[in-house]
Amino acid sequence: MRASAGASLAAAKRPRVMRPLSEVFAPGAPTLPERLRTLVVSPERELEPGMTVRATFTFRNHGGAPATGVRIRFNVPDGLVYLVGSGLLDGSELDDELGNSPLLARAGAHVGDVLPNEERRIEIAYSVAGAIENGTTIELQAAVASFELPCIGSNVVRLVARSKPQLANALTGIAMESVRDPVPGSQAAVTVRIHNAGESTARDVVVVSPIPEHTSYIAGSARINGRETERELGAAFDRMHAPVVLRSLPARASATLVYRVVIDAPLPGGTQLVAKAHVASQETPAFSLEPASLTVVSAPDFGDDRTTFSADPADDVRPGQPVRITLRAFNAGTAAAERVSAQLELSEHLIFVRGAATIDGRPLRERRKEPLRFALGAIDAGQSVTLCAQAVLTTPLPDKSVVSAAAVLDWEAPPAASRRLQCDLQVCSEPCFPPRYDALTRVGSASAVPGSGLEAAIVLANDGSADARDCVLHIRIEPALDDVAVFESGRRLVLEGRSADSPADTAELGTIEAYATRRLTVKARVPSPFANASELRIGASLHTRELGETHLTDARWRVDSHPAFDRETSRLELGAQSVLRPNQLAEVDVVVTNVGTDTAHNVTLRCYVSPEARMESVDGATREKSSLLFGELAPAAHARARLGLRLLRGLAKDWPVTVDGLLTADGVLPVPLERLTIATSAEPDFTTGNLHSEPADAVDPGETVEWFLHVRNGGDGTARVAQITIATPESLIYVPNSTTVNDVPIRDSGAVPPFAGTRGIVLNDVDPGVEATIRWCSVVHNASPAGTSIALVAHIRYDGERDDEIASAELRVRATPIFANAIPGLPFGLDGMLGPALASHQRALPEERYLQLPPATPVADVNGAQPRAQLSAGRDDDVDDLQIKVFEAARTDVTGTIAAFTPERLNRTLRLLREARFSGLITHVFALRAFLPEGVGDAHCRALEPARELLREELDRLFIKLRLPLYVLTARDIETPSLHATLERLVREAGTARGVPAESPTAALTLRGTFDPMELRDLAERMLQAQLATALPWAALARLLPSETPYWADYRAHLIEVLDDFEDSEGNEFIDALQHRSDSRLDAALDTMIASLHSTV
Amino acid sequence: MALAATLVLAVLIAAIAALAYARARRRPQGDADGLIAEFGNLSDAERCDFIFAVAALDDPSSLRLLERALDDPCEAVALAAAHALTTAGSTVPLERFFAANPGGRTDRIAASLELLA
Repeated sequence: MRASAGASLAAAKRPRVMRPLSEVFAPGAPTLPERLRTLVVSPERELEPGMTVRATFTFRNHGGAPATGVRIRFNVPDGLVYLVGSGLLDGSELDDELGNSPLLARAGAHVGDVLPNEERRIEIAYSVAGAIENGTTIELQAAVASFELPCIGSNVVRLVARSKPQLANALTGIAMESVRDPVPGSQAAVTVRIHNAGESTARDVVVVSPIPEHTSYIAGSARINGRETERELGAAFDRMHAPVVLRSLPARASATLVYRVVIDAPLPGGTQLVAKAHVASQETPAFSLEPASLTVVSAPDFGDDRTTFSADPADDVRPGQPVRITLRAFNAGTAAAERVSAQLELSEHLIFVRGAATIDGRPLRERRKEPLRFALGAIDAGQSVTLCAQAVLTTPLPDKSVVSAAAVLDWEAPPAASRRLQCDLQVCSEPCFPPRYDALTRVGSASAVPGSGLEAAIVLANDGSADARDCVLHIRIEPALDDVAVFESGRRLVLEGRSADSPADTAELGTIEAYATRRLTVKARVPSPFANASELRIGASLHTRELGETHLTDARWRVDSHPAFDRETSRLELGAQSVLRPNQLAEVDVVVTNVGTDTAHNVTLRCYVSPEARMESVDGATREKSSLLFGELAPAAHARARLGLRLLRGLAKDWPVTVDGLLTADGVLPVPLERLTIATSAEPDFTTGNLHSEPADAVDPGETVEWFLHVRNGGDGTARVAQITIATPESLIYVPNSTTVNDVPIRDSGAVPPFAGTRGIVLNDVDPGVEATIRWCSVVHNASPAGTSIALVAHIRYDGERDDEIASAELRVRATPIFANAIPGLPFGLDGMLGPALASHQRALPEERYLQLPPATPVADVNGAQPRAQLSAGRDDDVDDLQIKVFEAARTDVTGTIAAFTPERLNRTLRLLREARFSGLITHVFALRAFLPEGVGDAHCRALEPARELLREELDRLFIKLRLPLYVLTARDIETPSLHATLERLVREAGTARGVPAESPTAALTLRGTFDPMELRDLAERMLQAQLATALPWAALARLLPSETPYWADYRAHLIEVLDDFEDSEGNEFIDALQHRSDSRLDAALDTMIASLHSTV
Repeated sequence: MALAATLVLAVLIAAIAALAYARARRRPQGDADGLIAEFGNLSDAERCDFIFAVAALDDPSSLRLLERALDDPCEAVALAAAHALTTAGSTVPLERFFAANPGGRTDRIAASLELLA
């Protein structure tokens, strides 16, 4: 007490500080000293929210001077609000136009001057605020000031506010709501809203809100006005029964208590979740809120991504490929699904594999009924069942097609529902043309003849699972063939070229369906001509959009093409003149046509002309002896040549000249041409003749008269039979056996001369120009009177028709008496007369005896040609005659050889020569062995047989050795000392041989030859000094080879020439030549000789 | 003739002596197949010459060698052996060999023998 009294005393002593009007009533400022007790307030003590408080302040100028510049100001305490228009000065309103009262402004309201004793009355009204704390004290005071007086305060009126909170109102309540559907497991928020609808603050607001049943409090989720509250509460919200959630809740304020709960799961659908709460405060007793509820929504759910239906593989599935179909049913709902079943719906392109289905890896029992329906049982929430099934993708299927599979999942748990799931399979399919089915095969033989047709079959089997589209078949034909066509089922396909100038080799086939087979036939014709052994190939490739190029195998043929000649198109034709006359040229046309299909090489026509004629000229071909060489002749080509034939001598009409032709070419069978027969018109003529006697004019009786009949075939034909008869007169006595024909004595025909017989002297085959001289002697009959005329007439009958007469001149007998008997030369007398002596005669006819023809070209006696046979008056009626002529034409000092062949031996010899065609001259050594004669001369040659045996032995071994690869000849392979000695003896014996050996009666072919013994003797002498393995013995043996025909003679001459060239050689030159040196001319001559032997077989 | 025969005989004796010496030096005595073994070591041409050399011998070992040579890898050697057997008149083993070994090689050898007959 003492202390407070002291403080009041100190305050009294402190000087008063006068505050201006504007500074009074400032917040926190002390009230003014109470000087004027004229402020009256109604009500006086308490007030309630919303009440009107009226204040009236009066003052009087108790002074004597007017107070000027008087201003009045009221305060506005918290909780009171000025009522607009209530400020009155002496009953006059003071508010401005905006409703602001100047009484409440800082400067106060200007009331003007207040005269002394003048009183002013100011009224103002306030309204109590709606929310004002209970017990709040409100102080009202007015202040007045003027220019002359400091600011004076009125009395202070203190009022106490009376109010209370109100929590139970419509805005206070509880709510429960879920974020989404109120499904089990989901969260829900419980919100307790507390609103203080009263005029004062509620203190210690308590909320009792138990956690709803079937829910769980989410720890830390309780919020008061968004502010976490558990930290302030000091415990978990759900563990406190009646926590004070708010220390104060002002009037008109609201607070929200929110906490979150989790709905228990599982939870049947329809479960009611009820949230309850009680609210109380210090001022408000507890009251309950209307409960809030939430109905749980719960069901099984297979609708999320965890329920899947898939196929493996799903992409690039090939037809025929097994596909694993998997249905995983996951109950993502909040309730168990009862009696869940799955129904598979497979496309028609998927074939279900029975017995392969499993559920959660366990195999299922096979069911015949509804095999695609599977009972999965009950599936709890959050559980899954996996159904696996197998299916196979059918074939065929188009590429990139989509095959669907679906599964319908049904369940009955409330509510019953189903879900259809689907998966797609992307098909990868393509056609396929495997080589085992698709091929191009040859039809028929592998050999093709030009001009013939070829056929190949094409099989296009699409073994793939998709159609092949835009199929184009390309045909490859090498080389180009004719008439190429492609057929399918008898229908010819159109072939087109890839470009305008390319051959037509492409056929459009369109689409080849899967597993379909197209069979095509390619036909073509081999052009003619065509080279032999050429390979023909037909290939094909199939181009499809999907596979591109697919090559097929090629079909191959080998062309069997040969040149050929026949007798119809290759022939000999006579030229203009149809008759061949002796010593005249006849033109023979040779037409050679290659009717084959390949070029003929070395076309040669060997002409065999009758011996009576020979070839004089050749135009259009190369002549080589009697052969015409045409060279190469293309198929279907013609070659023409014109031969000039000259008839060497006359022939009778029935002996026409024949020309045979043997057409040969490489690789062609020899074709003998139709024989050309040339009629001859040769006729004999014996009109030219002379019959005369010697003496010619007169003769004495008893004198011998020699008669000469010269007859000559002056025609151009041969007289086959010429019968000469001469009648003998009685005045002549024939001298027996005095008849000669061409100095050949002719025996008489009995007692009569041969020409006086019945047939007379018969001459056969009298060639043109041949002259016959018949000479005989007769004696003039001694009793012939003088003057007797003797004349003879010779009749020559020939060819059965002609009868020519040749008469002699008259010979007169002159008879004179003779009385002497002394005959000179006789040592005795003789009663008789000296007879005539035979004397040599002179030819009566001056003409040449032989008909000399010009030599045929190119055969001549020069340039190494062989001696040519001369036409003689001898007999020449067949081939043997020609051989005889050869012998006659040869030198007289020759020795003959002979080699006889049976058909078997000749065949074997020819085969041996064919097999022994080695490179080099060794081939001709084998030829020497083959044609070595068996007879030399007319006597037995003792060394011949040993030489043949040794030669055979040595050359057989050599024949075998030469079959060794890369065998090199040595000297001892050619000649051994024993062989050398034997050959030397043979050559020596041959040099001394004479004559011609006798023919073998059993030989089918006899090869004759001649040689000069002098040459052999000379060679034998040289062989004595020669070393082994030289060409000398073989050159000697070559001279023993046959030379009867021009072919053989030609070969022998060439061989001798070649072997003689080694005379001066040294060392192993001959051995080397045997193995390495070839002589084409010699080989050709041997070929010709062998060919001539072939023709005789 | 006598001289030639003497020369051939001398060559054969020398060849046989050389082979016998080589065999005696390389192989122990009593090896019955020594001749055939030596024959197998020769070249083709030497085997041909050897066949021609022993062709004139009419002893069992030579005939056995010729029979063995019919199956020589070199066809020319086989032909030489066949020719030697034919020349010696021993056609039985040749026919037996031909019957036991039909084929192209036998046909060719038979054809060549026919040519050389």
